[in-house]
Amino acid sequence: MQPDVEKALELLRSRPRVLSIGLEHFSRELRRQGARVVHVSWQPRQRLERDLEEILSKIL
Amino acid sequence: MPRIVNIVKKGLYRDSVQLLHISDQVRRLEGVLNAMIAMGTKLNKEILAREGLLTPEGRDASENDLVIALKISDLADLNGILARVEDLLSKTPTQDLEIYSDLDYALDSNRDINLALVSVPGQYAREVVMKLLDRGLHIHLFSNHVPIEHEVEMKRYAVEKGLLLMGPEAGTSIISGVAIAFANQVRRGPVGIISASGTGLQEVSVLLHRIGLGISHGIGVGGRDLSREVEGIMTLFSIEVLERDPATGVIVVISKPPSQDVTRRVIERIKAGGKGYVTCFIGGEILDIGEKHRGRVIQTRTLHGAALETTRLAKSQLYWEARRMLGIDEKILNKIEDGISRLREGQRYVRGLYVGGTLAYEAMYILKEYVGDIYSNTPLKEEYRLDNPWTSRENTIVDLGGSEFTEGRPHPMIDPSIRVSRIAEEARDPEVAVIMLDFILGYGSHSDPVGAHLDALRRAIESSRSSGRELIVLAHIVGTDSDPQNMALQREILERLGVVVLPTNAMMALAAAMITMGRADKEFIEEFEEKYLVGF
Repeated sequence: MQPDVEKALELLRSRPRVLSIGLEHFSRELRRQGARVVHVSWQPRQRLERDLEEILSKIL
Repeated sequence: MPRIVNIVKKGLYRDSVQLLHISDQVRRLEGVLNAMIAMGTKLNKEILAREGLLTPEGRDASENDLVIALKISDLADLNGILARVEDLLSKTPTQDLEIYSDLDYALDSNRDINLALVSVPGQYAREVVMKLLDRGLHIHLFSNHVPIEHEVEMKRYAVEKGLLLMGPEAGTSIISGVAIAFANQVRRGPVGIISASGTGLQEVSVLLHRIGLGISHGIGVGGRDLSREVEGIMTLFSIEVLERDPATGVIVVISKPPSQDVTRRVIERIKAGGKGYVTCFIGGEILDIGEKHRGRVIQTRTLHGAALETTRLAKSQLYWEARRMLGIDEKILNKIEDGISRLREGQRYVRGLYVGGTLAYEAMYILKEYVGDIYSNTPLKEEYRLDNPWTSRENTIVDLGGSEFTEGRPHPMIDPSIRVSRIAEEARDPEVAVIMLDFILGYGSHSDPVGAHLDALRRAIESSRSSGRELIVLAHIVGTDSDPQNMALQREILERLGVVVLPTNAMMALAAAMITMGRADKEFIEEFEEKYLVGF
């Protein structure tokens, strides 16, 4: 079966509008090119803490 | 008359990436003819002097001081400009970014977003990616250490939804001229690239730019896409996409050697396509494609060869000029001959210190034909794996972007400190004849990669000389005249140091082969070109 490529072609027709999650360096590099970029900071430790809290709440 | 002004801020520190951004902005201010805001390091002062931007005040600055160096027109408002510089320095770089701490909230607030760049730690990648795919976003997944079964699951899901999932471990993409993660500023044009290698995509796009061609899009599919497990899911999907993309005329497919089944499947798909194709499965199998497709589908062995054959398909009148431009000319040949004549007895080994993984692979593939098996942290044959990746033996080529060197650290394209100290180590080994270095410019990379290695290189060359040896340093710069780093200056600094700068990575491998074999002549080059640069 042929895959549907319409959405991908739509991306290639436009200048990408980017959500960057993780390294801020990459967001800054996109910004420097004048690209539209929204940055989401990612805090693995906080997540881990949240997971631990969840587990603890189930145990206790 | 233009004026040169240096103002030194004692003890003020900003990192080089921040300062690069600030310098860019200051250069755009009215009345500013040139500007560089930099820490007062020796190198920066050297560069300031070369640019005619250094005054006695700046010369006295220490590496702990920040120098504002300006060249302004006589009518410029100096106080106004300085106020603006102060303003830029007082802002942290994050202030000009729109930052969210919650992914869902960010997506809900920005409904025009159509691509996500994901660089979270690999163990969290699947969770983030699946959510983004559900929201209908295409994804460039930079993260590494993503389990291969997650990769297969995510890619199948993406294709089902008609979305591109570039990665995991995708270093480079170029979408409609925008560099995603590590990519160079290249001209737009008719060549679409699908690559399972970040630096492979960078090398080919940069070489095509130099030849005068341009890139429609560069789709990084991740290093394992053509493995037996992943079965080329994203490569095959990207072929469907680029076949239908009106901006793309010729399609280049790049990877380290894929599994045999996947190679066949990709070639079969290409044969059914209508556009021109160049494949570059470095050192991989060359298949019989049949008379019908000859001339439209070309298989190549090296990245350099891929750039040349792409030129043949996209604009054949540029082919011979491109071949000349990317070749070893008289001047370089003389430098190589001169180097050979100065080597001392016992200097016989090559040490390649690479930041680009595929460039390291390509160099090993070429060099093994001339110098035999090569030790590495990513060897061609398992028995030549270095016991200790931090120490070279005999002929060695290391990929300093490998996980041994990058775990919990920035990639050496951003942080050159490991390579800097490794250069000193290799230079102390009396059996070393040649050091090979790749310098990657472009977005994502260090703001001044050559500058960061300058002192180490100078010391290495001088210390070898004082021990009665002559160390030959070869370099290849993956960059364009439009990259944010100054390509011409990067090259000039290397050449002034006596480094031999080669136009392509394949040519750097050839130069290393010539030096270790003690033979530099045109016949050798011609044989090499026939073997590695001409397609099938």
